[in-house]
Amino acid sequence: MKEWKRHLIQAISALLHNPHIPNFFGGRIHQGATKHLCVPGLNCYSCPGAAGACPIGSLQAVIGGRTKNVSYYVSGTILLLGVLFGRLICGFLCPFGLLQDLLHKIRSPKPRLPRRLDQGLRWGKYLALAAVLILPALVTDAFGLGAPYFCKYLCPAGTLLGGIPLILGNEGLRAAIGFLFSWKMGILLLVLAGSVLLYRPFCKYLCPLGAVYGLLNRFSVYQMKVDEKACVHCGACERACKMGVQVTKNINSAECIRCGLCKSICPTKAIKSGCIFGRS
Amino acid sequence: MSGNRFHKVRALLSALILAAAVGLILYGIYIGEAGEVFRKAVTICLECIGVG
Repeated sequence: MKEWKRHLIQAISALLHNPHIPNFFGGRIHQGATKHLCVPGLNCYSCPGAAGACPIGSLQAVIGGRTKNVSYYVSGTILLLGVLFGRLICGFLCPFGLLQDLLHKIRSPKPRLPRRLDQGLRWGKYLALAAVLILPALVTDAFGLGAPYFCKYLCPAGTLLGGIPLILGNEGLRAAIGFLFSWKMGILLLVLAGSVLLYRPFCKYLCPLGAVYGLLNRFSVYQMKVDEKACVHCGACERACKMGVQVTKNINSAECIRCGLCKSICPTKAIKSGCIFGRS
Repeated sequence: MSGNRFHKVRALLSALILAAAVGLILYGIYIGEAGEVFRKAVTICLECIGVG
């Protein structure tokens, strides 16, 4: 698939995640029934345009609630989406992924981090996932409520799509901003600037949703496959892969966002994708 | 493990995870978690936007 076609799908998905455009100018959020449902991508439910609930925010809200420390509905939804598509969602559906893709197109030096540093930083998303699952249940206030710590201190998607438009459109919220907002703006700017230089730094190093989907890549219904007979080991796929996947050794790696670049660049069409329940 | 057998085991695991996911969603809806998600999602989350 040509890259512009993938970006078109991403743009349509971003619009479907956030169809309530007029809310951006009113400083309010959508309150319709679709907010019972979790969306597949990382998209803050406090974004004025959001149609559904952010899976990571919802997970923390339920875990941090007074009644229980586990969320069946949200975990089930994330598991369902992950086992169907794996990180195809990151590559094709996540609005914050699209933003990073577009920022990386800006002309600038594109440095490669040393391999050990890059590999080490990639554990960050699993730490973030652990924080999402554990902190709201363990670190609670006097009423037994846990905060959504990932959203509160790290998530740049919430600041960009929720915080900035709401603060611009809502005078009351503008009066309430303090150090936390500056901190989150700092994280957002770091991620945005980082995305110009490195390919998808948030997805690689910080995203807890990408971490879950990545763990399910190997078991997802949608699978990638290298035809060993057709592969000539030219290395074109691995040179092209911006996520640093060793395509011929581990094509369903947790790092693969299934953008399909390797598939389109392969000179012998040795890379295939399809349903796991099809023929082996 | 041969390639074909490995593929079958993986497909079986996928099916099991799929069934577990559907079970979790249905149980979550049964105990009212979808409503809990809705109530959270229709109010501005001050922490999420960096104000609270």
